[in-house]
Amino acid sequence: MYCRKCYAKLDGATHIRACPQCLHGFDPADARTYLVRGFPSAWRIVGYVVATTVISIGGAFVVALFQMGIASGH
Amino acid sequence: MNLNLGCWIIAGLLRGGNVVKMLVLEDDEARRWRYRRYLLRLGLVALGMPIAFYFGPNWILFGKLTRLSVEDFVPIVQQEGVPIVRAMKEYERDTGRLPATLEDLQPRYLPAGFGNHRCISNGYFHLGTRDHEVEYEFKPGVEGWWVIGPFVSGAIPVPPVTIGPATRPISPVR
Repeated sequence: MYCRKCYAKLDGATHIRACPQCLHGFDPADARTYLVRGFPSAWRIVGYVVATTVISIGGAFVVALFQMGIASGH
Repeated sequence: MNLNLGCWIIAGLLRGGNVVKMLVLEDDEARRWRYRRYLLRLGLVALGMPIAFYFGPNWILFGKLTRLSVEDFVPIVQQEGVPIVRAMKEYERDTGRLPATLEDLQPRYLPAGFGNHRCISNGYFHLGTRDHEVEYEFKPGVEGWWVIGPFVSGAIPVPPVTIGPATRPISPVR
């Protein structure tokens, strides 16, 4: 079991039902409250990829504006 | 302090977590997952950086994913430049001088309304496109198409314009 928030291992914390690192709560009986592996879920990875792409496109506009400024001599 | 402990502390600071707790709780399996998460982040950076610094700006500025090159000016040279320069050379062949304006070429050498009226000035051909200047150099030895601009400069791979001998009587052009 791993923490959904900080990915810390929860094996030794089932009795306190909270992550020892970030105190994020979890229920050992409810698989939705923790991760089976110390890795983001598929949906979270998809979210990361989408967010990275969107942020990068925003960055691309800034870079393009900067390059246009250089091209026009400003 | 050994290197491993240094990495732990840096990783702990980056995560905003408690280094001591990490040291105590992390076993080999958790460490492997941590390295895999680092690989994921590296992959996201590898995805984002090219979009932000290469593909994205090229798409926004030039409408294509790769950077601007002299080859990108070939279509406009062939569609607009070659007919005008051919007409200029025919004009020169018939009159002994290059035209001063585009209107000198119309309608005898070029159809009326063809081309931008500012592309010829005193025997000099230039075409503004994509913030770049496309020019035709008439000097023998360096004759050909050139592009000058902030993103790309150099010779455009289009052969120089050639014309045949006059097929109609030479007469003064008004």
